[in-house]
This record gives sequence, structure tokens and C-alpha cells, in this order.
Amino acid sequence: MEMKVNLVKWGLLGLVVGIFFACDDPTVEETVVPKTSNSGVFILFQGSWGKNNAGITYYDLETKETTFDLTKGSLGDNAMDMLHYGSKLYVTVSESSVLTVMDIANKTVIRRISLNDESGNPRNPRYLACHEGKLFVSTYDGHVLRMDTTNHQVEATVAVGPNPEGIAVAQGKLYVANSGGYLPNYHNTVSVVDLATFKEERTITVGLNPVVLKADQYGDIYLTYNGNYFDIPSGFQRIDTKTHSVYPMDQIQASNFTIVGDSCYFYGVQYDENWATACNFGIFDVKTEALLSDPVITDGTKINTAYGIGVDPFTKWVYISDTDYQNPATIQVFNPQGKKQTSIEAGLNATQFLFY
Amino acid sequence: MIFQNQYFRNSLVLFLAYCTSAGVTAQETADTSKIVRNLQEVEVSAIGRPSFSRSTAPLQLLQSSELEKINALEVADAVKFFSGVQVKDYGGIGGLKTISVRNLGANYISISYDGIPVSDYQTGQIDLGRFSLDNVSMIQLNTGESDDLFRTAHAMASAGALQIITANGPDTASRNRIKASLKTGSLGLINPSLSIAHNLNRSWSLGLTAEWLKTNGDYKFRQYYGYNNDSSSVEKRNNSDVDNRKLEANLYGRFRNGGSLALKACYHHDDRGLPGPATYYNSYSGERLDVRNVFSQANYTQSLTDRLDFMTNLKFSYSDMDYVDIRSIYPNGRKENAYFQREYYTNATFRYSLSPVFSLAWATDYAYGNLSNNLSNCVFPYRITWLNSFSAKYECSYLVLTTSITGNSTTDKAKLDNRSDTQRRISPYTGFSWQLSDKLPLRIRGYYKHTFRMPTFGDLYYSSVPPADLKPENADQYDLGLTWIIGAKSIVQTIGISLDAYLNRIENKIVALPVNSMFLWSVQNYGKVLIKGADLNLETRLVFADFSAHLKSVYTYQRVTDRTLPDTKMYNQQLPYTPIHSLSGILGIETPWLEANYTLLYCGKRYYERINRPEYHMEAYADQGISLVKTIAVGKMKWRLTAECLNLFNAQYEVVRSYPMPGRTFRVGAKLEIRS
Repeated sequence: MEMKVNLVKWGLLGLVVGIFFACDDPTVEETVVPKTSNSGVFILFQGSWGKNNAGITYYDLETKETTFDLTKGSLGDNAMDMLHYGSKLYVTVSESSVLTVMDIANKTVIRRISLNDESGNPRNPRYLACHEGKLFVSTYDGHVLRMDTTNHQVEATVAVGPNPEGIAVAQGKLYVANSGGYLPNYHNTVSVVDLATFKEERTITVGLNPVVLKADQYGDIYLTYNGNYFDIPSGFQRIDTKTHSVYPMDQIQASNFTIVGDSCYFYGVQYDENWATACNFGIFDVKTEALLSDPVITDGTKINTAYGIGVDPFTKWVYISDTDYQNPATIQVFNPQGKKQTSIEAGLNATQFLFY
Repeated sequence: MIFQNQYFRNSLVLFLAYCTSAGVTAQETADTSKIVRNLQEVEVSAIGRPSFSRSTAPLQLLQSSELEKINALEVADAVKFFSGVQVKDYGGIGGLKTISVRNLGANYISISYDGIPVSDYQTGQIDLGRFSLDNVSMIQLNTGESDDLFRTAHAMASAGALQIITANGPDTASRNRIKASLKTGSLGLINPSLSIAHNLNRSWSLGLTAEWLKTNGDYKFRQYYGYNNDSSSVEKRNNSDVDNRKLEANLYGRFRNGGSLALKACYHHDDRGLPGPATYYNSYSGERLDVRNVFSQANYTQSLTDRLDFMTNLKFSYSDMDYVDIRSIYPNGRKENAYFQREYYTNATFRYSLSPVFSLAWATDYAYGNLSNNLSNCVFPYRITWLNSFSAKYECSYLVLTTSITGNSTTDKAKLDNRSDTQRRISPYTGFSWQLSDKLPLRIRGYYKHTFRMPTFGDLYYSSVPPADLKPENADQYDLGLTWIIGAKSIVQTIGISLDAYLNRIENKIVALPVNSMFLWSVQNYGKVLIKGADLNLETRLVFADFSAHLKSVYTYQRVTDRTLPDTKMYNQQLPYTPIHSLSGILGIETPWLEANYTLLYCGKRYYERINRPEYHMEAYADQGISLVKTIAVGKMKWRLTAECLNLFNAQYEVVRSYPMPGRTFRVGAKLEIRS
């Protein structure tokens, strides 16, 4: 394992209090001791389809040691999303159709909840959000589930559009990206679910095939849409949740992004006619919607196919997953100056980052 | 004195170079050493049974007597006993099974049924689980190329050829032949079949065959979790039922002018569940496949002069494949696709013998195939393939030299797509077999062949994203080997050994690579593969008084490494699902009262991902089976009663990751044959 990190840096950057990667409302279970640094990085990897080899790579920021898979190969098939809430880490495993609940401090699996419909068929959970003690899970069969974070029971179900992916809470409402799933059924709406009644109150028309959807702290929703890969291109949009107006953000070429404080870190993957890839990276200010001039990578490190991005809220180090879909992913780590600090070997198709 | 292999010219005495059991029957009373001596001079086969020892490229055979020793219902289970062969087995009776030979995938292997190629324009892969062994008299695998010049160009254009030859052929010995059989056993298996053949007159004979195979297929297996099988649970494989029905009619004619005609019509209906991967914590499975296939084919063979032989083949094939996936993630809870394929195929082959030792041949094949479906983006693609093969053979007692060149012109077009592409390629082959000394029955052989495979319609037109510009994938094969037959007038009657070292190189490999997510695939020319391997085949027959034993075993060594980009993690790593060591064997013991058989399939450790990390390893396994056979002859009736135990030691293993194989199962069967 390469060690190029200066440990002294940690203390200097511990200015922000709050958990940016978890939730707008961090706890119902315990008091929060203000944190000044993270002790490790959870890296969720999808694995290969049909091979039951999803998992979580853990990178210890103090010892610099990597655990290839905290679940030792037992997570299941096609992990999608993870979320930290209270003392738990929640993971959706889509093909296994389970929500895995882990103890985040011990890094152990506590229980697995099979998410099936009334006839016992799998719902295939996708993305997670939380709000005031409740966990929201989008499921590929066209629903969002509301779960209680103390007993992990499904309390309520709401039907949304087809094949929902990313979900986020803003202004007391839940926003759901309805992707439509597969060719030729791609869909182009975002469902707005009122959290008080847990009913879909409206849909907003967005770009075709929306997938990644996240909220900032000013009541804006950002989303990427993938198009149909043939004649309708991909793009990036902002929804103002006060007016429900949709604004194109054509200056941002984003396939995926993460929001830390006022900064949105994004990457775009472009393909040529033979599907060779080229990646771009950038940061914009979510308050002003202005593209910042700071580059993410300055030392010329090449990323072939970016597949996930995470930013440590304390150190502002940027973690980028580089996949070729066939080998364990390489996580390249950059400091705020854009210089590569280390690289981590994570599982196949590493996609989500969580700092704790 | 040398004779070429000639179909239906069987007035000559038959001897086989190898101790195949048909040959052995003839040899039992004969002086084996003399036979071996004769074989060096006389290599004759009336119904196209070629010689293992004299072939320039490896040739492996399983004849009906051997097929009866292995506990197999399908051709796929039988070919596992060939060296260099891997069967991608997704588990269960009727599950998808495709063959690769020396790590050249299914698209490189020509599969023929009674001499005429079977094809699939959508995937290029023939599911060997579809072919029942019930009425098969021989399976022959040629790696590289056959020395028999009297063949289709299709067989010459491939890297290897698997021939399935049925027992439906004409038989002058008895006027009426009835075969009835019934097998039943674990997994709710019911497998009856009936075959009737009648010689109408001196020229014509007619045969009808019907077979039904039904199994509920659902078997229990142990699901292991984690990289080190840290925990496990007993699960049930769902949705693996099979209902397979087949009807076949054959008409044979032999004419006074020396010509012979074989007509075949076949209907096949296969309805089955596709269990899919055994996913952790989720046993749901809703995919089904219903395939109806009709084909008819004709073969006409005639000697035009003493030196010139002529053959022509015609085929029409139609298949309707209905796929359905019932899952709540689709609109209205289901996805339904129907695919229709049609193929017209025709061939002509001429062979000219310049002298008793030297012959030339020209084979030309023309095929038109199309595919349509009910998808909104269907462009109605069709493909025209024209193959021309020129070959030459020199064969004397100590030397065989075969060389051929096959030109392939393939044009792809689509009714609703402007793209049109014609690819032209040349496949040369050259091989030798040389006996260094006439005192020692040891021969050296070797060959080189260049082949390629075209992208399939699935590769070209059915990816979820716009297709990249695809070129054919190509492969070079090099082989050097030894064959040795020892015959002795002792308990050990014969020993046959062949040892081959080989090197294959694949370039422009056609692979489906994910784009943007794991569920979007783009088919691309990506990758180089280097395959270095060795095959050892050993066969021996021991006879002591009324007892005899027959052992056939093969060992395969394979280093199959990625050679795409030196700076990637997968460079030089062993490719997924390729064991370095694998072994198989058939042991049959015959006594005056009973016949007992033992089979072994051993597969060494391998990996299921492209990087050889311990997390991705798959453990070695040994699948062993036994069977007991009792044959009773009463007048014109011959009964054959079998009891089989498959996977005797209940080994829990997977050939393909997440596709568990069945544990121990049992079968019993009865077969009745009446001749009059």
C-alpha cells in the first residue's frame, strides 16, 4: 500500500460540523459530538451482474490499510447505494432485493430485510434518502418505501413513475427520478411526493432517463439524465423546488456528482462512436450555479472510466473510482490542489463513497 | 493399397485404426498385431469412421457403445469427455450448454447434424443441451480440420467441427427395426422415445423417430456465501423445468447408378424455464424460453466417375423463439420478445482422385439467413454467406499431408438500415501425419490453421446502445503431437495414446463490454488472448476370458492468458472459467452377466473474474457417476436395462458462477430393440 499522506493535515481542515454525506437531519438516537475528521472511507462496489460479488471496501484513513470487503463476499448481487443514519449504515442490494443494515462503528452486518411486494416478488431497491427518523427507498418496481429507522419495518408505500432511481428530500418533499429502466421504455419525469401525506402530488418533466438526483441546502435539486444512448443525448438539470421550474445547466457535463457544502463535484464520461471513453471533472458553486475554475486533477493522472466520486468533507480530498467493469476498481485520491495522493484497490465497479 | 473414406461404399472389410468398440467387435477373434500392421496399409471406413492415429489434426470419437457407458442424456454431457473441450454448463437437464474447443468459443465450432451444419444467426452459439443422445450413433470432434476432403465448406471454415451422427441411417441387415426406450428418475424425469424403421424395397427405407423429455428440474443445492464459503443454506433451484418434444422422419434411397439420397424432416419444440443466476437472498426467477424449430434437409451423394465423387446438400430451417420475463420492473409486469430465424443453405462438393494417393476437392456453400423480432427497433437483418474451399490430400502408408484454403465472403444487410458490410477472409489449413519408421507405430503430426468468426446478429443489431464498427474476430492455431497405437496378443489388447501441444492466438476478440452501467452493453473488438495447452488422450482395452475392460481418459492442460494491454491488471491473468488442469475418464467393465461403468469429470481450480484474486476463485471439483447395464436377448428382441447414479458423491459445484449444478441424482431406463 502506498503511503504518501501527511497526517498533520487532518487537524487543519476540521472546520465543518455536520454530516454532509448522510442526511439533512442526522440523528434521533444519540447526541452528536462535533467531528473534526473522518477515520475511514466506505467504498460500495456493485460487483458483476449475476455473480453475487458486491461488497464494501474499507480504507482506514489512519493506518492507510484497505479491507477489500467488510462483508467478506456476503453482501449479494448488484449493490446500488449506501447511507449513514444514526449509528447505522444502510445498503441497498438491488438484484438480491435486500436492504442490508450495518453497525457503522463495528462495520458488521446486523440484519438483512428482503424487500418484496404483496405477492412476494422482489422489488429491487435502488437509492436511499432519510428524513426525521424515516428511511426512504426507491424500488425498481415503481415505488418508494418509507421505513422506520428503529424497527426497520416498511410503514408505507407510494407508487411513483417507472423504474425510479435517485431520490432526495428538499423542502419537506421527496423528489424521485423516474428513469423508465430499459430501451425503449425510458421515462422523463421526477415525482414529487409530499412527506406529510406520503402521496405523489405532482410530476415534473425533465430530461429523458434521469438517474442521479441530489439536493443542495438551498432548496435546489440537481439531476443527470442519460438520454437513450442513440439520438437523445444526456444532460444535467436543476429543479428549483420553490417554483418546480427546471433549468438546463448545459455548461456542466456531468454523468455523476456529489455535493459537499456549497460545492458540487462532478464528472462526465464521453464516448466516441466506438465507445472509447474520455472523462472531464469540475466543481461548481450550488449557491451561485457558477462553474469554479479549480480543476479536480492537476497532475495529469488519467482516469479511463470514472464510475463514482466522493469528497471528504473535512479534508476536501476527492476520491474517484476508475472502472473497466472487469477488474477491481482503482480509487484515485486527490488533494484540493489536484495532486494525486494515493490510490486504493476497491472491489469491482466501486460506485459510492461514504466518509465516517 | 489405399482407399479413401467413402460413404456407403461398404463392400470392403472394415477395420478401425483405433480400438473403438465397433472395431473391437471385429477384432476380438483376430490377431491384433496383424491388424495393426494391416492398418498401416489399409485405412478403410465404410461409413466415414476416420482414423485417430493417422489424422493430421486431433480427432476424437465417441461411438454408441461408448455413449451408452456415460450417464448422458444430451450431446453436451458426452462432449465433456473429449480433451481440450469445455462445456459452459448452466446446470440442470435442458439448461444452456455451449462448447468451446481449446478455448476457441462456440462461434468457432461448426456443429453438424447428420452432415449438415446447424446454425444460429442471433448468437452464433448452438445449445448442445438441445440434442438428445437417444438415437445418436456417433459424436466426432475434429480440432483444426478433418482429412476427409468430402465435406462441406462450412466445416472447413471453422476452427473445429463437431459432428452428430444419428442411428437413423439405412440398414440392409433387417427389414424392420423398432426401438423403444423409457428413462425415468430424479427431478421428475420422464423420457420416452420410439423409433421405427422400415425398408420399403431394395432402394428405399423410411424411419420415424419421436422423443419426449420432461423434467420439473427443481433441485436442491447448497448456497454458499462469502469468499471462503463462510456460511451456507439449502436452497431450491426454481423455474428449471423442461418440456422437450422431437419428431424426426428420414427417407433413404440408394440407386443403381451408385447415388444415394438422404432426406430428413425434423420438428423440435422446447419449452423451458430459465432459472438464471442463483442470487443471494432472492430466489425469484421469471424468465422462460419457448423454441419451435422446423428443418428439413437433403443430402445426395454420387460417384460420377471412378475418380470423381459428388455430393450436394440442401437445408431449410425456421425457428421461432419466444422469450418472456415476468418481473414487476417492466411495464405491465412482463417483457416479451419473439425472434424468428430462417435459413436456406446449399452446398456442393466435388472430390477428384488423381492417383490412389493424391486427391483434390472443391466445396462451395451458399447460405442466406435472416432474423426478425417484435421489438420496435427491429431492422430485419439478413446475411449472405458464400464459402469456397479448395483442398488437397496426399496419403500413403507412412505420410498424410492435407492442405486447404477456404474463402469466406459474408454480406450483412438490413431491410430498415442503410448499413451494408461485406467481409472477405481467407482460412488456410495445412497439416501432416508422419510415421518415422515402419517398425514403430508412432506418428508425428502437426497443423496450422487460421480462422475467424463473424459478429452475430446479436452483436451487430441488438446491443442496448448504438453498435461500434465490428470486425471479425480471428484465431491462429498451431499444433504438434504424437500418436501411438500398441497392439499386443495378451490381456492388454490395445493401447492408444495421443499427446498434442498447442498454441492458439486470438485477436480482435468480440466482447460485450458495459457502457455507463453494468446493464448497458456495447459489443466491441477488444482483446488478445494467448492459449498454450496440451492434450493427452489414452485409451486401452483389456480382455481376460469372458471379461473385458475399456478405459478411455483424457487430460487437458491450458494456460489461457489475456494479452490485450500490458499495463492493465488483467494482463497475463488466466481467463475466467478456464482450469489449468482438467481430467475425464470412462471405465467400462463387461462381464458375461452385467456391464458396469464408471465416469469421472475433474476440473481444477479456476477464477470467475478476469483477475486471479483469491476472492474470485472457484474450487476444483470431481463429478463421478456409475451405471449398471444388463442386456437380455430373447429371439429378435434385445432388452437393455440401465440403472445410473449421477454425481455419486453429491459434489456441490458450479461450472459458471452462480449456476449451481445438481447433486446426486438417479435414473433407470429400459430399451427394447426388435429387428426382423
